[in-house]
Parts: sequence; structure tokens; C-alpha cells
Amino acid sequence: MYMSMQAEDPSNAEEAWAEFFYRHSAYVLGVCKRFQNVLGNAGAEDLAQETLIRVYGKAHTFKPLANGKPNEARAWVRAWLGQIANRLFFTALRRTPTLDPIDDGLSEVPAPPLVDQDGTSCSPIAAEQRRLIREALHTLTERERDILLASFAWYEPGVGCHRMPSEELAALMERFQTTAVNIRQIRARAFDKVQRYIDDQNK
Amino acid sequence: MPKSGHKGKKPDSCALEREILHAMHDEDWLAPETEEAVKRAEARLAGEKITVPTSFEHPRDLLRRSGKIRITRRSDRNAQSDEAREDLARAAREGGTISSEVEARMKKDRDEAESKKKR
Repeated sequence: MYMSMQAEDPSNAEEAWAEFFYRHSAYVLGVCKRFQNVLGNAGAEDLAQETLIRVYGKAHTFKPLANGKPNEARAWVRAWLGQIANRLFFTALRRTPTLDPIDDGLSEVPAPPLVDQDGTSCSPIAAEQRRLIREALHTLTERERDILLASFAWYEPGVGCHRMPSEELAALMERFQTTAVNIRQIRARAFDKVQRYIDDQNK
Repeated sequence: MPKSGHKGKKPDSCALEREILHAMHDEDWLAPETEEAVKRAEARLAGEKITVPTSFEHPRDLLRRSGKIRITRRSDRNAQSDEAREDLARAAREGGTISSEVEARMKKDRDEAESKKKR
């Protein structure tokens, strides 16, 4: 609450944010390490840092969990942090985001999951399909996996992934030491592998 | 959004991409966005040693420098010039000192502007 009072009481707001930072920084850093393969070690640290800094500016948009136990409230806050981190991750891969990824909502960044991640709200067929996709993801090489993940920076809900524009692939080309064409080929191969795996299992 | 290069993309592909994104969340490839996923991450991280970088020791400094943090390099020179101007304005407002990095960037901007004028 104090954090959102930046205009009225900046000193307390900063102090509240610093406390928030100390409480969640190791966790945020830990989850941002998931992006280390794509962003590099320093990039993952930058992402963690930027995620926590964004919290300060966006504190007023946070809806606290009503009547939650401390553990639940913490998980709620961290789920919000996860949304910010994911949006920043995908936005970072695109060369020049023109808008603030947090303010911009869904037009510039992938949507958060539409259904429960544990699959409980899926139909049995969808749940089975998702299980197969999860298995298929494990058949990918590390490079295929990283590039497939990165390609979702160009994902638009309801449309799918746009073609990765060569001029925006500089960071990935440097990271994977390859060309834009090759990155797109690896992405296509990864996608085909997943599709083939599902087809084979459904035969 | 960038131009779509997937004209004529099968509806099946779009659905599969959406499902792949969900599966990536399920597999914890992305940062956890649900309470369940957070709990899984916390349990996993409890067994890991996380080395916090020294820059994390002074969060208030990070906050003050926040305008300067970039996750990836940006080649947009105008943005850098704006940043330098903002840093200068901030330093002036707060009566603080200007870092050598900002000073160098400003000098570069000034030189570039002057060379443009000459042309």
C-alpha cells in the first residue's frame, strides 16, 4: 500500500519498495534464471532487476489478495511478479518495444495462460493433448527449446506466432551464433517435431 | 505488432501454438504466473543456492538508476540521447553529480549534433 503512495509520500513508498525488494529479490532472480539460456547470465539478472523495479511504478495496479493467509498472499504477489517478468522477457527479445510492456496489455506481449496451468479446467481431450505437447517438448534439443520459447516474443493471442523479423533477431543471432534464417529454420523444426510427436501418439 | 509472415497459416497451427505456450507454462519454462506454479518454483528454489549480485545490495540505488537499466542493448540513438538528457535533468534537480558514463554519452551526443550542423 505504501509503495503505491509515491506522490503523497515518496520516502515511505521507497522504503516499502526496498523492503519488498529484499523479500522477493532472491526468488525473482531464481525464476529469471530460467531465461539464462536465451538472455545470458547478465541478461537474466537484468530481467530480475527490471521486474522488481517495475513493481515500484506499477504498485497502484496490484490487486492484493483479500483475506489470504500469509503464504497465499506471498504466492499471489509472486504470481504477479511472474507475469511482469514474462512480459519483460518477451519484450526484451524484440528490438525496440514502442510501448511500455506492462501498460500495453495484450497487444504487444503474449497473453497470460487462459486456463489453469494444472490443466484442471481443460476438457479431457484438451488435457490429453496438453500432456502430449508437454512430452513432445522434452524431445527437443536445448537449442530448439530455447528458440521455440524465444519465438513466442512474436506471439499474438488469437493469431499465433508472427514471422520473426530478421531485423529484430540480433540478440538471438548473437546468443546462438547463427543467422536469422537458421533461427527461423530451427524454430520451424521444433514446431514440426512437436506436431509429429502428437500425430504419432494419436495414430 | 510486426507484419504477419504467416499468411495462410493453418488454424491448427495457431491452436497448437497456443497449446505449446500453455505447455511451456506447465513445464515451468516461463516465470510462474499462478499460485500453484509459484509454490512449485519456491520448492525447487529452496534446494538451490542463489547468488544475489552485488548490485542487488542497494535497492534504492537501483531504483534511482532505473531509467538506465536495459535488458538488451538498444541501438536506438535517440533513446540514448533522451536518456542522457533525463539523467542530466535528474542530477540537476537533485543537486547530484553526473556520472562519467553520462558525461561521456552527452559529449558524444553533442559532438554528433555539432557534426550534423556542420554538414
